[in-house]
Amino acid sequence: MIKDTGSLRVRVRPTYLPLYKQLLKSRQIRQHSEFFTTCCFLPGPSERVDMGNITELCQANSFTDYQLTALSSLGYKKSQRILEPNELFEMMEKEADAGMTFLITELWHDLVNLNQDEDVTLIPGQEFEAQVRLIKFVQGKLEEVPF
Amino acid sequence: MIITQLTMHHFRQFYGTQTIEFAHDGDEMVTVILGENGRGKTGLYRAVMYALFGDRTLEQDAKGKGVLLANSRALKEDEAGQHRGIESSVRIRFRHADKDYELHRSQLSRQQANGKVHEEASELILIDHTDGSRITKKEEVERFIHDLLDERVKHYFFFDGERIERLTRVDEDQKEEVATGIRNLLKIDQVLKSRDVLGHMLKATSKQLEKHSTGDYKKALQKRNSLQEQIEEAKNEQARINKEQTALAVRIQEIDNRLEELSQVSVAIRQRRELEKEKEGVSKGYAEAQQALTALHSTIGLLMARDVLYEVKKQLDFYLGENRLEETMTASGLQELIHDLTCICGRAFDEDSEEYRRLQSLYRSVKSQESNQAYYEMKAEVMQLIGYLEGKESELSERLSDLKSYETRLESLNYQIEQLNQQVTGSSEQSIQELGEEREAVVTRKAQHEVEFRRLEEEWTELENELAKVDLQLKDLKVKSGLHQQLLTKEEKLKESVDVMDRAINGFEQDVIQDLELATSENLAYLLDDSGRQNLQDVKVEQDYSLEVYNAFNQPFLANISQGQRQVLSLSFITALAQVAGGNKALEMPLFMDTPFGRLSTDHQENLMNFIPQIASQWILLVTDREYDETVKRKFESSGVVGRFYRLESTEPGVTTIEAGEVLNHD
Repeated sequence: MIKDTGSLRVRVRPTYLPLYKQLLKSRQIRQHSEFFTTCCFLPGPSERVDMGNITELCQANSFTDYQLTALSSLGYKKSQRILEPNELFEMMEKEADAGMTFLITELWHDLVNLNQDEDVTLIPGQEFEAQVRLIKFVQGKLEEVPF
Repeated sequence: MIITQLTMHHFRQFYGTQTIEFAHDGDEMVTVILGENGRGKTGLYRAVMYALFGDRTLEQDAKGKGVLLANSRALKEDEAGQHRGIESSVRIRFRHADKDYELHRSQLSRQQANGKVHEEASELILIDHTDGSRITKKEEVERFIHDLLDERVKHYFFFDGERIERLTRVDEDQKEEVATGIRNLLKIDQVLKSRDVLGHMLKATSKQLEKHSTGDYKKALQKRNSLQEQIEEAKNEQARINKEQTALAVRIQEIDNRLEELSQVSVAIRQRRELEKEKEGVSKGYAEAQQALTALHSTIGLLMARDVLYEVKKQLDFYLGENRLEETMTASGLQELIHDLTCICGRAFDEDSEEYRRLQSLYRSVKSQESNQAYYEMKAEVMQLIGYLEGKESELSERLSDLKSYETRLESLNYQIEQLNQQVTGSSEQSIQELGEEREAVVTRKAQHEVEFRRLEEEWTELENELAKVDLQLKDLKVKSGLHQQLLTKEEKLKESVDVMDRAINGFEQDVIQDLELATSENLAYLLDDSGRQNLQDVKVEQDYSLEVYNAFNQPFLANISQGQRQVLSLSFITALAQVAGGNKALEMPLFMDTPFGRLSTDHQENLMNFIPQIASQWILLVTDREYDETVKRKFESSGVVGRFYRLESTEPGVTTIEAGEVLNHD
């Protein structure tokens, strides 16, 4: 496991940042790392798009051990080797971006607002509904694959 | 009064100056004005009520809602132009007692900066075209109109068909007003006034007699006058109490009706309270379930990683093999032993020995493990995370299921509460309590009044007995006095006259009421259809001119008749009033009806169309195309009673023009 992430920063697309902040403010998540991790495991567009000038979301050391294990596993699965922290988070930023794109274009398409700067937010008051939809989606996914 | 012409200027929907000529001569005395809803039929009705009585609102207008009489288009044009305000007016030409009159009433209107319209009365003029005289004083014009038609019964001649049935259920507090109006119409009031004049004269003569008398006679006279005053006072007080009692009885009835409604909803209120209490608990549970679900968010990302974790574990198993990590010795420790040719137990060996080969093998194995340390650690962590996630999926399902069940219960409770809310709208437990308290107070007051009423009756009966004694005493003294014979005779004659008058009035009013009953019953029988005729047999006009209708079994039946039948009953009474008031000829009064056939069946409508022209001198009908289609029009016009026909056409929003139509020649 990544023992030392140092002062490594985790970044997201600037237009997605308001949505992270909204979820934190409405107490649907306790830390940005939670939602970032979730996004990494959501299905996303097969073609990764350019995220542009990505902006800092949080520090890598705010991720819990379990979150780091989950992310490292995903990194291992994709590269077949244990990645260094910077490599890992660079990859995960793309995964989280794709996951978020899936959320706002598919699962939450009728719950989100886009402003003139294309900043994405949830329609005020719809935060819990978004949470429930996400949980139901996860539950569906878990039931889909028998282990 | 017969209305010959109505001219409106910038009034309601009627932009500019527009005129209607009414049919009024001979047999062709019906004017039909056809207009779809919103075209201005009621605008015409308003115009007539405004011109005659200055009414700015009608009964059907919502309370507190101002009705704009000025034409909106004219107002807008004025606002855009000189903004001086506009004049709206209604001019009515009418004939009465062989004279030709013109009544003109107008107002000024101006749109204010805040968007509201300020309306202000302007002119009221009555012109007698027969001699050219004009009355401009408001009070005098109003008195003239009042003499033509008492305002209290105006709705018996100018009415909105939808509301006509209300005449059969006049409020208790309005009954006296309406009765006075009807007495006025039937000219009974003039006889009553004569009786009052005689009464005053009698009083004055008695006072005069008292003044010119002396001794015991004077004393007896004083006593008699005092007794009479006391009796009058007691009777007036009794009448006042009686009136108040009626109002109290009405209030009790209102409260009872309301309480009955509330008692029906009190069960609903109780149920609602229970459901609201339950909802409180469920809402709390729902909020907790929400929180619990939200708390799971930290897990859901990890749960999504589950298949990745299993896959990675599998790959690591394959890569690392089944060997367990040897934790007893490090590679450097083993290398040291091999270099020193000394076993772990301290025994020496040489390079060809079995111990040496074993140590070499162990060294290679430990060296390999040390190079895969990170993979081992990763595998351990993955397994740990898989272990952590065990049970989390079922926890997630449980929490979701909890939330769903709370949601379903909440939805069901909200629906039930909403249903109950609709039942209890406008009522509350507080109002039940308040009404209960008010009822108790009203009943107590009514009981006190009853006691007071009886006390007053006893009082004036006693006073009247005493008065009779004093009258006897006076008779005796009068013989002895021989004084003021002229005054005494005058007083006696006046007293007799008042008594005769009283008897005559009572008799006359009874006769009029009987005539009204007969005419109403006959008209009703004419207007009703067959089944109605079988069911409703007789009409009784009460002393206060309210109506009761009796069924075939001679039982009061008013409360059970349909809205349409009520309308027909009202029309029967109105036409009876016109007949009785008119005497031998038809009463010279128009019947102005706004949408009168709306609730009537075809039979009732046909009967009415045949009947009214026989008894009225003028009939003005405002009808919709539903009441008066082409078939009805042809049929009615072929009877030869329709003199004029107009159609109200909308030319632009809020603007109506009056277009004269052709009346079929019945020949």
